Amino acid sequence: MAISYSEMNDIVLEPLRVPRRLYFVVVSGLAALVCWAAFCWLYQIERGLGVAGINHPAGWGVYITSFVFWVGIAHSGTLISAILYLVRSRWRTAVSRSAEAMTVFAVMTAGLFPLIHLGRVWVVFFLLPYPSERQLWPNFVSPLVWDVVAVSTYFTVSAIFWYVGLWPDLASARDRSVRLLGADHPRTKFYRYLALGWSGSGNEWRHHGRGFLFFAALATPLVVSVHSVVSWDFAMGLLPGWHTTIFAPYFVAGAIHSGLAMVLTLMVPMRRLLKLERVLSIDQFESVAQTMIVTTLIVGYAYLIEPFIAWYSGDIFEQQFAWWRATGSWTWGLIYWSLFLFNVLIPLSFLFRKVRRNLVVLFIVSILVNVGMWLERLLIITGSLSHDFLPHNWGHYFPTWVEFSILTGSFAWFLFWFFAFSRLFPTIALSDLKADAERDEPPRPKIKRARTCIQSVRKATSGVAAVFRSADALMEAVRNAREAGYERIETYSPHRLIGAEQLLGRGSSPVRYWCLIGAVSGLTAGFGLAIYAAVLNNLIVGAKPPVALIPYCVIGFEGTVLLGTIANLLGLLFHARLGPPKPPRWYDERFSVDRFGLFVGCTPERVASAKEVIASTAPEEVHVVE
Amino acid sequence: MSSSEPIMASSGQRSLRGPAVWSVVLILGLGGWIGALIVGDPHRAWRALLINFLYFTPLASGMVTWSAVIMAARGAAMEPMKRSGLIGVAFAPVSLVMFVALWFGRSYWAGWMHYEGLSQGFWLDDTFVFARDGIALVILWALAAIFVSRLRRGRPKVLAAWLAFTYCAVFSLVAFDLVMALDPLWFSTLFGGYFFISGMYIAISAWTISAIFQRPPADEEHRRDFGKLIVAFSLLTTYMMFSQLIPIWYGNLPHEVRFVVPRLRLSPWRWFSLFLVLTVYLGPLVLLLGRRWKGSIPYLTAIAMLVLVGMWVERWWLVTPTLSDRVTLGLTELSITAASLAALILCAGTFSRRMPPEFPEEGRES
Repeated sequence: MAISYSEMNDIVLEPLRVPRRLYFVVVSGLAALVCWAAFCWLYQIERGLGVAGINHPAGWGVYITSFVFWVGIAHSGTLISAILYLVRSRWRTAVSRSAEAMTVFAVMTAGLFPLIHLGRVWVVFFLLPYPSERQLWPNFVSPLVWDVVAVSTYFTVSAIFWYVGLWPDLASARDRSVRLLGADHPRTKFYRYLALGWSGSGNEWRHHGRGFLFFAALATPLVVSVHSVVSWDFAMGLLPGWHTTIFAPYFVAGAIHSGLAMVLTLMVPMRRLLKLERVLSIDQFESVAQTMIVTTLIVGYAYLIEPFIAWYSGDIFEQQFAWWRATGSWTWGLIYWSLFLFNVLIPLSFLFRKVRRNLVVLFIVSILVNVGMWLERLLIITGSLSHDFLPHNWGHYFPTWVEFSILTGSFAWFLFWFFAFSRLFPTIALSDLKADAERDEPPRPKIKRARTCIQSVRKATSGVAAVFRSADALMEAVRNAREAGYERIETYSPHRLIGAEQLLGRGSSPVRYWCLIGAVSGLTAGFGLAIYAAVLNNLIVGAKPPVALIPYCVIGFEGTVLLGTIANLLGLLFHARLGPPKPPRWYDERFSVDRFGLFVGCTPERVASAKEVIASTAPEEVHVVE
Repeated sequence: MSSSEPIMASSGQRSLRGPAVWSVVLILGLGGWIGALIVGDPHRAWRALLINFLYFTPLASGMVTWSAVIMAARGAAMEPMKRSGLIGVAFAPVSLVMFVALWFGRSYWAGWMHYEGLSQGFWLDDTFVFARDGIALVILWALAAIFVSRLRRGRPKVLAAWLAFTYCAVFSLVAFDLVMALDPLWFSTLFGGYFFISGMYIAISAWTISAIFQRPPADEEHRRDFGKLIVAFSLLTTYMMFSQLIPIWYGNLPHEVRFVVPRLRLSPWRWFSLFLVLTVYLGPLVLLLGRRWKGSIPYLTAIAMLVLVGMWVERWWLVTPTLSDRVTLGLTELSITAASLAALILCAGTFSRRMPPEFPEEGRES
């Protein structure tokens, strides 16, 4: 049964009410775990890294494993949202918002681990890449510097991408809060400031639609680049098991695999707890499971190719390492073979439709996949370090209670933020749901774009505002107003109306130029920064030339995406005139629910005739604005 | 149309306009290649056949696979275009004949045969290599043929997924056996992945041209979608190549850089590498940036052609520096290329006339 726009608002925004006591108990428990982990970190800072199990030869352990794991979890959020947006996939709508939030929180979690692993966290600024004016040399050939650049870019872009997508829904939350709690309630103020005065005007939708497309286009290759860069932390080393060309796509596929599993882990219970059954159907979960079949096959392909090429290469170090990993000791052997079970064989059960549509099974499989993917990272990272070229250098690694506590704390930290998100922000993209419902209606005849473009209503001091029940009635009124010669017209709607934009003669958004200029500047700046730092120091490291263009492609690429995204955001804010927290005075709160609005700006003398023109299209209400 | 009705008649393609011309091209091309084989350099002639096998087989089977991928991924928007991709299946016999022919000339091109005491042992026994690759190719083409045939009765989604999976597996194997093993001392775990992704890139470009030349031609929306897919796969192919390059560049190990150094450092190969960067790796991203550009028939056709030519050069670039110190690009290569192209067009044209004007349940999926 079709759900009305108003019901959609109720279902999605209802969880934003003050939660029950149990919620606070759970959140307090998570906060306690986070505090315990923070205490352990302080203990480690005070006593030194010796309290962790990392020691020669395994200098990287649970912390770096967890860093890679959480960066991986962060992947599918942007993947689901950006790639599926680009390919116009319908199942994106219900899961994209939570997945994007998951991305942001997972990157926040991942970002803590390099700090924890540093030991001397107060010198963290050594990691930041900047020209070496203080005798610190940011080596742009080093994958560790790429990591800092890539992960910070990813966090920035993901946060912007998530926040921009939220604007229309924050406005819905604001309007609902005004109705239920009053205009001066702190919650209303919270949404009001975050919504940046979003009113759902045609102008805002036009720039938002275009800008969001560019965010998606920039975020998609970024998703791929970030985990590739993380994989190169290892692949650039010469250790057996690390130095292999397949690592980049293998890590990316693994990241998406674990990220999709985490989407299931979070959304299966969330659907029930927040009573989202009517907007979050089993079909959407099935689509996630089907996508996981693809990632399973890629991960399985990599699992098979690695030992095959180790054998094919004839390299005794690679061969002995591959053999040791599979059979060397019962712990590593158990981990190695469990990867096939957890990451390949169990998710392949999604080939069966019954499994894909059973939420309990999906939930269990998703947890097993995440366990498997964490173990995979542990095996890759500490396995190669523990068993390198020289037998007398071989060693063991086992985490201590400090590492286990911090690992547990990281899950609590991540869930803490996700719990907070689920009660503070709409967890489903409400405006996208409405746009999807609109697409399900019989298509309207294609509307040709008007030759002349209307003028902005920003400077209008008087006019007529009307409320309509349907988009068709609104468009009829727009047509009449234009035919009557009115030039200051604006529409308001709960989702984008391309037809109204055509009637108003609006062309493509100029946001694209901002994005292009930002991207080109970022590319230039990325290469420029790396080359400048290299020329300044003029050092040869690892037999590489001081200026090495091949690795600088990474910096150039990240710069392109970062500045392209920031410029896109600025262009979007500028052209959509967003920022002031209050929408225009003729705005009606129902415009973010299920009503469509029209404002015709005119001189006081023409108000009466404008009212007449609009009244002929049977609006629900007509108001004179003076 | 119901499944019981005869499947025949109306041609959806107009590529058959000049079958006579293409037949002449086929004969001349084949004649030229046989001539080069007899009176010219047989090493070069067999190498040219290998290059064209590595180019046209992923292209033709990839066109069918693309249709399968679109179906498996529920890409409703591209569904009406699938007919123009399915014609690739007609190339199956030619592909298999080329493969069998390569067996006869293996001593001229199979690099691994000239090494002794290789660590790969039985794996690079030439009979075993050809047996497994031959079986793999037969399975791939058989699946493609069954897929096309089943389409006449419904929507074989499971088969579509299997076909896509098989394509990746088969061309990984072909890449390891017929390209990587040309220099058995060089290895790369990513090479199989690179090869099948770049194969899909060649195929999407060919499918674009096929869709533009079908009757009625692809509309503007579909042309834009093709343009986007070309850009996406150019980026993906570039990513795979870069992901392979950077650990090799970084590690700087002798057994790894033996693939990279001739191609990036030595003249004239390095100029061909630059050509590839500009045409097939990063070119489409810039050349298809504009929304309107992607929708323009002449422009999109030109870019797809550019990619097809560029990717042929890429296949040549993958094979030749391993087997020869000299740049060998002339009539020998062009003759067998022309013959393969003519064979593809003739087969596809003949097949397209036998396809039903409409598949059952076409466009039903949303």
